[in-house]
Amino acid sequence: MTTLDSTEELVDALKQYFSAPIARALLTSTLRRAKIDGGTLGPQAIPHVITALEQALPMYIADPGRRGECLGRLRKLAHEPAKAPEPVPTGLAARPAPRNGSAGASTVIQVATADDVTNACEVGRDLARKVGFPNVQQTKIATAIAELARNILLYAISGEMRISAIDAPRRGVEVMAADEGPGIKDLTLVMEGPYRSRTGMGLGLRGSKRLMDTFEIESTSKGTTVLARKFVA
Amino acid sequence: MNAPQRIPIINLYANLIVPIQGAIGDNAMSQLTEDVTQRIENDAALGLVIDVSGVALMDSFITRNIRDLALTARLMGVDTIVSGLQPAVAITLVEMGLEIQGLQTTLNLERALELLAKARELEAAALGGDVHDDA
Repeated sequence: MTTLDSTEELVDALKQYFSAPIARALLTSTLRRAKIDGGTLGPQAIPHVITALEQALPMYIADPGRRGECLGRLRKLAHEPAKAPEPVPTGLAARPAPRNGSAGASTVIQVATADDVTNACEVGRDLARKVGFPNVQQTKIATAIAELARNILLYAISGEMRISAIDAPRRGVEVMAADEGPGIKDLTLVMEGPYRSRTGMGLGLRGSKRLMDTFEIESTSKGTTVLARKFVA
Repeated sequence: MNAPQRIPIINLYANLIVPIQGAIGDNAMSQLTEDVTQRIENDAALGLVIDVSGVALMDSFITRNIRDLALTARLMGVDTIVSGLQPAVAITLVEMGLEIQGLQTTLNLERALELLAKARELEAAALGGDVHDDA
């Protein structure tokens, strides 16, 4: 491939504000929404991307000052084109994660302590209630979030969760958990086999999969990303 | 809420009652195991009821901790019952496939105490019977 690719530069700039997986997810979802082909992202496309990101950013960075700073950093890229071709991000983290409607709320939570786990659960339950899930479903979503947050804490030390209200493909809640931990070596064994770790990890991941309607997991030596959704019946 | 909350342990008719409320932090949980086993020894408790009616969310971590606490207490010779699982929590645990096998549960605290009392009556009757037979 000789195409110049600016994806990595944009991700690098976004990484000042988000963890790497979230930065990628944010970028790719923005590209998808703006109908920009992420596979052949050349320097000439950067201004379009920045315009699209400008619309998406308020959802991710609440503070206007920080948002402006982030945009400034991105705009600088428009004048400094990419130097070398870089591989395009693939896989789950590069998926269009939040396809929010205009009313879609999204909360990003840093997970580094047990209190963060509790906090993430509460955010998830609140959002599930607002979206219209009945009590039992709220509990299932909050529990799935607890399992994912707990896994981050146990195996990756820290990471990030994003909990969003979604309208597409159906109304519901989307949970994304991303960390840069050592990854899960044998994913199939953990997700399907009789595997049961000392701390009950297999149980937690499998449990959260059972509680949600869709569950995708991707794990490399650089980290693990889970994207799970539950829809209002 | 950064201060580690300490879960109260109530002694009632030689039964220890542990009412768990809301979210349990990691520290509070390990503190609880320590406190409960200590109290079992000090109070010479006969029964233990872990009441979870105030817990709106039980993930695999909390469930495992409560199960371990119950098993530990039983190993010390104390009848142990977990009471008051909320409907949504019970449904979620089953759906997750979290087994809490070997764990006695009751609908509420009242039933748990009744069950402990009955178990003790039976035990006393059995012991009393033995004495008579021997005499």
